[in-house]
Amino acid sequence: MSELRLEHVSKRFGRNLVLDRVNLDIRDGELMVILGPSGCGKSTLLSIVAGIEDLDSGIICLNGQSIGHLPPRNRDMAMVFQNHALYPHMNVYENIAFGLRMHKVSAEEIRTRVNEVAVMLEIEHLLKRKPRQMSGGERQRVAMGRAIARHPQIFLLDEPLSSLDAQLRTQIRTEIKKLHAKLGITMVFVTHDQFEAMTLSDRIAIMDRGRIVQVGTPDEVYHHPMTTFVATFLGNPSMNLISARYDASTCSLHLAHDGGTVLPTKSTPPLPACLIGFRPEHVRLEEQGDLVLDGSVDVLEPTGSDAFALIDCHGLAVKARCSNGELSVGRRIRLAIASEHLHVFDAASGNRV
Amino acid sequence: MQILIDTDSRKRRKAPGLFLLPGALLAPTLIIVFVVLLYPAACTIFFSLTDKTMADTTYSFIGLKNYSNLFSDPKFWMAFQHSIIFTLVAGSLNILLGFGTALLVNRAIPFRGLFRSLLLIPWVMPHIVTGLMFRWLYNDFYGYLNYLLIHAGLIEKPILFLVDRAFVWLAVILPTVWYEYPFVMLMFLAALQSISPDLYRAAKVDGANAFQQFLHITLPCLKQAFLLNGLLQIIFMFKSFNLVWILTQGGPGDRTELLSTLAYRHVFEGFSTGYGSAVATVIFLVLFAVSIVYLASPAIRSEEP
Repeated sequence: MSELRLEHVSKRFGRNLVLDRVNLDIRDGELMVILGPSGCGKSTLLSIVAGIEDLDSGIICLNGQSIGHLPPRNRDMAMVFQNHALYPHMNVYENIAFGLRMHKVSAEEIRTRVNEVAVMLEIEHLLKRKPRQMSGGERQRVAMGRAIARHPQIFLLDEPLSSLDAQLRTQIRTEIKKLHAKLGITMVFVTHDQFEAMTLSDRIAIMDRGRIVQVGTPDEVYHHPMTTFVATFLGNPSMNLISARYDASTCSLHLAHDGGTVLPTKSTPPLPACLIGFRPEHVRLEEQGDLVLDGSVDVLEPTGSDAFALIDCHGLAVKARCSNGELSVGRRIRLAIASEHLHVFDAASGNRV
Repeated sequence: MQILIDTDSRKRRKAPGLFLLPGALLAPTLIIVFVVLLYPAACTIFFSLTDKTMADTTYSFIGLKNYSNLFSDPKFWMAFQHSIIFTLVAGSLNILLGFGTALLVNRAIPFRGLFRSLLLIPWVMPHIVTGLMFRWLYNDFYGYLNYLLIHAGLIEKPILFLVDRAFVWLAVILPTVWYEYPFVMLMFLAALQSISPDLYRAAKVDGANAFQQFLHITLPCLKQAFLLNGLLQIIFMFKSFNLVWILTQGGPGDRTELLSTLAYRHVFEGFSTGYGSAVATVIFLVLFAVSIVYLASPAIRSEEP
């Protein structure tokens, strides 16, 4: 049982507010991914949880007990770093054993645990090697092993895949997911890569400028983004956002760029200006739909099975996903989007309506 | 066939030019190394095998006679012993003090940059300035060292630091360390800065306290720096000359006579160039042997990337 709760956690570096009253509940055995662009404070948050950085204000609770004031050694957490941070002068065995030695685990127990981890991660043949004699992927495995051997309550991973090449990244990502299923341990994984976040996580917490803007399952955050930031940060290409005005007399939305296309709405509260969002994969080449746009194909980007098209709709650039070969540059087309795929945001605050 | 002949002739035409540019670029360095290093060194070794004096232009080859005389000369063995003690004491103090100050100014203290610059000042000063400064400091009439000691009630009458046989070694080693330790500090500081901060973060998460981090991260990561500084201090201290000569000229009597001052005395004061050259050659051979042993040691070789 290891639940982690963060309440109103704030951190300043000089005059720079890096974390702004962050609240987050991480459930027992969950793989929580903290996702955000670089500089949003996600790595600082992880360092504060680990105890490497002090928090300015707020509470961190592990299983209901406040741990914010404890030194790292008493928090029972292990961490994997972006550049592995293996001790260069120790061999793999010593690297894995170091944390156990610091916690005064008996020599017998250390030997058992290191061997157990080495078998699990298939690094038995590397135990006598120094970090510089290994490849990036092997080092990553050792770094994971060092954390696992500690049998921590919480496993923290700070962008552990970003220093690996693309192929290895996919492989280690799968291994982390398997490992999580096998160990059933609570993991907090920090990344800026939305693909990693979507594929790995049980839940995602999305951060922007020191605040957590949305927490939810990958499906929730992808299909029901609560802000325009989440809507555009997730998805590649990102969500289309079109400005619209609300007409109270007809209870309908008028697109701002031509004023013509009218979108009847039932539930939308009266807002002077809003943004209508839809994902490229929900754009259909049909005559009929809830939102209909006319335009011509500007750019085509084939990706193999699919193609991304940039369509110019009277000065409005709309991204659409279509099958490869379906469209050609310059062709005039009509786009239709069903109302269940439309997201409406307040233009001023960026919040979902 | 035609093509083959063509390329051949082009190759032949190009060959002399192939070494012209690299040769021209290397020439100034090679000439300087030859003129100021290799030629004088070769001369010294050659003269050590002759009976050359400063007074006479003619000399004859006497084989290893100078060396056999040297090895039966008690003054030589005493200077040798002095040089070894001086190297061990001054070198160790330089490394201890340099390492300590490097640790201090590596920490995030206020005005760190200012402290680093100020601490380097002794090393930037010419030997002659340092030497004269300390002579004034030790002066029995005007020197404030004696003044302070008397006023603190530690002594009753001034100590003649550069004359008193009990204090003269201290008086020579003090300015040597004062001058030399900033260099060691700089070397250690560079090594400390090259340790990834993530290693300390990882060690903290692994449960290491500040002392354990120092013991298990800082010290092992500085192994190379310790080895290198050790070698450099052996070399610098064993051939140390300027400060000792400015302060005591090897005196009083031969109390602070080092191999370097002995060599100088024979060559330029005793005018026995051959004999003095033999002393200088011994210094060279000792340092050469130490360097070889050092660089070939498993500790250095095993850390090569």
